[in-house]
Amino acid sequence: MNISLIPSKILSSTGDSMLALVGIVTLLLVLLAKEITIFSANPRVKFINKSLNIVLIPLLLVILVNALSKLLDQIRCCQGL
Amino acid sequence: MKARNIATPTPFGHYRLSWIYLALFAGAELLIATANPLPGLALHCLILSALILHSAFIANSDLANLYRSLMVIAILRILSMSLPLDLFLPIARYPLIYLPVLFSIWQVARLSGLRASELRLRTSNLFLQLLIASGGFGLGALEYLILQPSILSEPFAWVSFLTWTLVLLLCAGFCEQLLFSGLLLTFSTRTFGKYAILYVSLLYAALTISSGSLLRCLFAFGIGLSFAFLAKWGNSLLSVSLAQGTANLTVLLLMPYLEGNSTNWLATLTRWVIWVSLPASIGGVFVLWWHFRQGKVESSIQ
Repeated sequence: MNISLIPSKILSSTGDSMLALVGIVTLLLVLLAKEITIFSANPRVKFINKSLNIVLIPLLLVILVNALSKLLDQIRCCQGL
Repeated sequence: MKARNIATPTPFGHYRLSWIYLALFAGAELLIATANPLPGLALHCLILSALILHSAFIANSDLANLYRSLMVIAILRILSMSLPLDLFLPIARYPLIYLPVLFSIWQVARLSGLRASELRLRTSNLFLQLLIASGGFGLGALEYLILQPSILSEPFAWVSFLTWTLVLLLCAGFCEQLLFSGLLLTFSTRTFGKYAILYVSLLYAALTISSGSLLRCLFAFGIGLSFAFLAKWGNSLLSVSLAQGTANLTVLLLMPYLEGNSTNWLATLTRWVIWVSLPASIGGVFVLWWHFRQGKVESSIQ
């Protein structure tokens, strides 16, 4: 799409339940890593803890959008039946 | 982390891992360009994980912050590939991707203690910046003629046009330039010195590899190089953000409109704006370069 960086290829056009599942597992791992590292005195561990903040919101968005769109897709399928 | 800055000069080979990350991004984009984009996405996820861990083990805080900035690149691509964009209106896709990216940029800037002026969020010499930004119309026309990109098939309406203008200026223009000419250029300048512009431009070009077009890659490299120099010379993101936004606007809306309506007053006006803006912006770039050479532009990069 012109000179902006949005690519023409996407993984799923209707939401992907596997992607949402992988996202949820990753989110749980990230949250677990944050909980484990939050009280560490090691500066390197603290650095990782802060870096994880950078990925949290985008990760949540991927999970929410994929899960909700898949859910809506399923509801639409059921209504069609 | 209280990190120590390395006081010694920064030779080209000293930061070879940064160049390896650049090559990995290019490799991931190459994988996306193939029939199955999943391995490319997986590589982006691996790069992101590696950057999170690697940045914590680096003594040079500027290099660590450069790696944190590179995380945003991986996030941008993961988001743009894993969201079901087809479910949303074309106009909603940009904010959907760029708002979380903006949040990540803000996080990196906050964690690294960058001030707004260090991100080049300032408006020095407003008239000159606007003059240079007007070159975006010519740039967009050039891109449309060379690359023949896929365009929107929407009939012209003022409300839609103004909404698109706002979205493209804020998302495609401001967010991308805040990331490349703000965050990445700042940290890579502190890390690589004179090689910073080359690094950022190559990174920008690498992210267009997934389009599968060599011409587009070369065009993106040229754009990245020009915008990085303009941001450095003017020490402001205003001209480059507006130029990129207007270039996108020209490609997506104005040029297709000109093709369909060649005679009415709006088409004539648009054509005049495109033609007049080119020499005006070239003159503006020359004046900006002259000011930079004379040391009239205040630098915020330490």
